[in-house]
Amino acid sequence: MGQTHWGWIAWFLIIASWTYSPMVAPAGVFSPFILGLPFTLFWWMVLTLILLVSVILFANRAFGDGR
Amino acid sequence: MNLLALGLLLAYLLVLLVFAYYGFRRREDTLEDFFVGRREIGKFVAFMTFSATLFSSFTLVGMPGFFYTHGIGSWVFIAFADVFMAVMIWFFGYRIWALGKKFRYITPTEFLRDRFDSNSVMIIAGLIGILFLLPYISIQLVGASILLSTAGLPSLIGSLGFVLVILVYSEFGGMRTVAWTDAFQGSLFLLIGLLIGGLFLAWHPGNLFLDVLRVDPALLSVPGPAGLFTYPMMISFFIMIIFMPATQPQLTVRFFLPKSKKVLKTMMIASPIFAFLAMLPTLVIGLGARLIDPALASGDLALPTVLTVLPGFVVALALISVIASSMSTVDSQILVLSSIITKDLFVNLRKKKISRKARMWIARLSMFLLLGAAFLISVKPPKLIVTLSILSFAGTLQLLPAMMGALFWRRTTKWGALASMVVGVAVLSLAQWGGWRPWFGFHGAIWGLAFGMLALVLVSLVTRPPTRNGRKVVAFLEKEFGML
Repeated sequence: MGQTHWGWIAWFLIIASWTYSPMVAPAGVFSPFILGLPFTLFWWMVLTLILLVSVILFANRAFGDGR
Repeated sequence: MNLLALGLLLAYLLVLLVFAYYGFRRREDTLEDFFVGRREIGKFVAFMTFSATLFSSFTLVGMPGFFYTHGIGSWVFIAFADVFMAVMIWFFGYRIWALGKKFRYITPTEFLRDRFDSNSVMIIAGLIGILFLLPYISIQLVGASILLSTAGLPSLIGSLGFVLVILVYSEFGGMRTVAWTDAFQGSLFLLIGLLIGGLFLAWHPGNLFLDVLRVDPALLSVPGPAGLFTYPMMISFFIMIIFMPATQPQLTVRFFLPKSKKVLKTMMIASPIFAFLAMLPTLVIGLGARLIDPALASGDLALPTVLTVLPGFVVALALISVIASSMSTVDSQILVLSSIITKDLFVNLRKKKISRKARMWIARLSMFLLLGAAFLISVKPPKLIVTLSILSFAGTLQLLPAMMGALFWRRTTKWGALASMVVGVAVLSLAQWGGWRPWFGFHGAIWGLAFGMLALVLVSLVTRPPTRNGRKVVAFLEKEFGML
C-alpha cells in the first residue's frame, strides 16, 4: 500500500472515531438542524454522507482505470 | 388475499421463472458456472446481487422496529456501518477477487484450505458457516410464512411455496440466475421502500423529527428509550457489520463473480449508495409509526402501522418488497452453503476424482437437502435455532482472524488459524451460554474476536509456516498486494 492509501485509511478511521465518540456525537437530547425539509438532517446522517463521498473518491483513486 | 396482491405476487413469480429459464439456457454443467457464474458477471448485476444479499427482510420489517423502539441510534447501528462496509470491499474483496481469478476458487473456505495447506481449516470454517447461517435461513422462512399468512395464505403453504420458488430458480440457473433475480428483487425492494417512505412524508403534515421530539425526546438521543445503544454496544455492532464481506460466506463469494476490476470498483461505489438509500425509508417508517401509535406491542408492527395511512395498493407492494428482500438473501445463503458442502466437503476431500456429472448432482441434491432442512426447522424452530440465528453475524465474525491472517500476514500458520476459530467461538459461547458477562459492555463477539486474534498471532509464532500451495498463494499475494 502506498502513502496515499494510508492517508485514506487514517481518514476513514477519523470518521469512524468521530461517529462513535460521545464527545462529538449527540449523547444528550438531539437538536435537529437544517429545518424546512420534511425530515431533518442530523449529525450522524451528515457523517454518513461525508463517508459516502469519501468512499466514492477512494474507490476512484484506489482502483484507477485498470481493467 | 386481495386480488391486487395476488396479481402482483403472480407477476413477480413469473419474472423469477423467466430468469430461471434464461439462466438454464445459458448454463454449463460445471461447478464454476453453477456456483460463481463463470466469473463473468457485469457491473449492475454484481453490485445489485451484493446489496440484495446483504439486505434481507430484516431491513423493511426489523429496522423500522429498531427506529420505533430505540430511536436514532439505529442509524449508526446499521446505516453508517453498512456504508463503511464498502471500504472492506477494497481491503478484502479486491484480494479475494484476484485470488479467485488466479486459483479458480469457488468457495471462500477453499481459499483458506490452499493458503494453509489444511483440510481441517477448510472444514472448521465451513462448519462455522453452516452452523450460523442455516438457522438464519430458517428464521427468514418463519418471517416469510408469517407475512404471507397476514395476506391470507396458510403459513405452512406460504413457507413451502417460498422454498419451492427459490429451489426452482436456483436449481435451474445456479449463481447466474440467483444474481439476476437478486438484481430484480433488490430493485423492487429499494424502489418500494423509497415509495413508502416518500408517501408517508407527503402524508405527514409536519416535520418528522420535531414531532418525534415532542412525543419522546429519548428517541432522538442515545442510548435510546430502552438503553440499548450504549457506545460499547454501538462499536460492537459496527465491528460485526463492517467485516461481513470477509466473514459471511454468501457475501464473500460475491467477490468471485465480477468479470473485471472495473466491476469490482462499481460494486464498491454503488453498494454504499444503495445502503444509504435503503436505510432512509426505514428511519421514516420507524419514527413515523411512533407518531401514529406510540404503544405498539412490538416494533416489528411499525411497517404495518404506517401502511394503514397509505393508499391500499402500497400494502400489496410492501408485501412483494418484503418477500423479494427475503428471497434475495435466502437464495444466496443456500447457494453458498451448497457450494461449501459440494466443493469443500465432497470434491476437495475425496482422493478419487468425481465426475463432472456427479459433482453437479451433489450440488443440486445438497441445495435441495439444505432448503428442506431449513423448511423443516422453520415449522417449529427450537430455542437454540432462534438464538443461533440472532448470533449469525457474531458467530461468523470469528472467521475474521483466519481470513485476515491468510490475506495480510505471511507468517500465519494453519494452527494459528485453527486456534483463532476455536478460541473465538468458545469465547462467544461462554458469553452466550456460560454465564460470563463480557467486559466493559462490549458484545461477547468482540471479545471472541480479540481473543481469536491473540490466539492467531501467538500460535502462528510458535508453529511452522505453510508449505506447497500455501507458498504459492503467499507469493501471489505478496507480488500483487504486499503482505506483512
